[in-house]
Amino acid sequence: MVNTITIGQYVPAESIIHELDPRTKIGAVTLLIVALFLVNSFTGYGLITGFLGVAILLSGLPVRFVMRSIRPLVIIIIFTFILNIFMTPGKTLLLLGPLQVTDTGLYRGTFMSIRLVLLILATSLLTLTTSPIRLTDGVERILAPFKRVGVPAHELAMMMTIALRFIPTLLEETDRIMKAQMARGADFESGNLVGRAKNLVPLLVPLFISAFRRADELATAMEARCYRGDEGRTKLTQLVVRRVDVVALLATVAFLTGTVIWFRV
Amino acid sequence: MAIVVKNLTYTYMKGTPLAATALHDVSFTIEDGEFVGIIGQTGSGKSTLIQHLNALIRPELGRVSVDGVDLGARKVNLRAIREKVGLVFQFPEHQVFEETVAADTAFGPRNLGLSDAAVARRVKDAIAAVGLDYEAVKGRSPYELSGGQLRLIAIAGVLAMQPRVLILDEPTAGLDPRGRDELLEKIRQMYEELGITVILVSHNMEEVARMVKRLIVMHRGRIALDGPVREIFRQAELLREIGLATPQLTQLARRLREKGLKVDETVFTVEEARVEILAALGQNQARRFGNLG
Repeated sequence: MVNTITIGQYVPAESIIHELDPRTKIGAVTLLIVALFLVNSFTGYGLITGFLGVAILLSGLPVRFVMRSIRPLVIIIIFTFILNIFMTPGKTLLLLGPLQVTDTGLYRGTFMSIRLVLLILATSLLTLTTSPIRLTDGVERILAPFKRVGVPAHELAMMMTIALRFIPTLLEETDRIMKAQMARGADFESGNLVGRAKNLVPLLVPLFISAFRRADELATAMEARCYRGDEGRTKLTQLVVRRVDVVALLATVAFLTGTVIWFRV
Repeated sequence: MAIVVKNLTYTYMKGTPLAATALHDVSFTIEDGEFVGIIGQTGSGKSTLIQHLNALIRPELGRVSVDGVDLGARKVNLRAIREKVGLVFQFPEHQVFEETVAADTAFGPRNLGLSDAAVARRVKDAIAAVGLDYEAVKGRSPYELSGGQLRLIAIAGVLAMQPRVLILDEPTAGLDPRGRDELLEKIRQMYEELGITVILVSHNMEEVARMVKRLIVMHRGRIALDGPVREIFRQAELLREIGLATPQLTQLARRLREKGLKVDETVFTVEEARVEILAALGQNQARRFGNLG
């Protein structure tokens, strides 16, 4: 039941997108997110969708699989859509009891939903095509210049690596404990909100205990291998910027700047 | 009460690039009161298979039925199935969550909607069945217990459901040799005293051989062998190919046989081996004397 979640999952493959430097990809996704908030027309979003579509095709991942990453957030998207439809003032299109659907509401609801979907797809494509290690290496290198002003770049990257590393482990653990309690007759699927929350105790207590135990073991293991932070630490694989990275980043910058300028107002 | 599995096939993460077939056309029947071992290497599909037996995974392709109830049917009373088929996961101590031993053991029977008195009785019986002193442990925090005791409490938590079938997934994983022997002995006692069906899942031949009467050998999601323990041990080459070793004494007997000593190659306990080897030596001695004479 939890294995349908694809957030933070990496699918190894050989493609031009997979092989890009993580910094290129992080940069491109950041730009895309900024563009999504600046562009305010459907045509602009259409162009960005096309751009993202090309990137997904280049990654060689099945389109349907990438689309699945939206699934866990469908409720939030629907919620946003409905809230915008009813809460925005404007010309009334439809009356549903005390609620009214307005033209601006419909427009903004649709717009916000598309924005959310594109946000999720872009970030999912990043994590789907970049292994956690490369991803955090990229983050560390991007943050490195800020070390001088006291940003703990290495520590942040290490925390991110560990968090990402343990997402699948904890999901697996959740699945196992859930099943073990279901084997003892526990019910996680029915009941009202309060009842359901109470039913989570047999799941959450063992999960927390195991997370703390894992953290403890990991800390010991790291200390046993003389981990002492950033100082004097070298990387096994060095990140290299290649021509394809420069081309990809320039293309993204050019495309997004163009779109933003064209469709800003 | 029989468990019938027919042409069961299961694929993890279906429809994604990470899809992996865990079970491939698996069929078998387990009769009431059997003591069966399921053995196979890590990733052979054992765990996926047993999760089908109490409907934690619903059959996608193929059929699983318990006591005539089809687990793939839409309206199945899942709680009733899980009451009948108790499943003890690997490292079951990780599922313990209550403040006291008695409260944790009571979790299962309470979910069945029993009265307080009935729950209390079951808790007492279950803790006694795993061989712990109920009065001594009932009020203690589970985390004060030793690893071996905590595992027994977790098993008691499943036993308190009073299942007709008890499935144990690698129950001895992570225990020291003595803890392992004690736990296996207790499982055997439960089998004999409670008159239940027991399915023991393991990757360790040595441990399963002494316990069960019938073995199902899994390999890459398929059933490679299914039959009485001794029959299985005759297939030493096939087992080696799968990556499972026959017990050491069976290997010894086989090698003695290759050297010309007439011993039964399916022995696996020290006592059996002693009798067989002495008998064979006796024959040899006799023949030698005969030749001399």
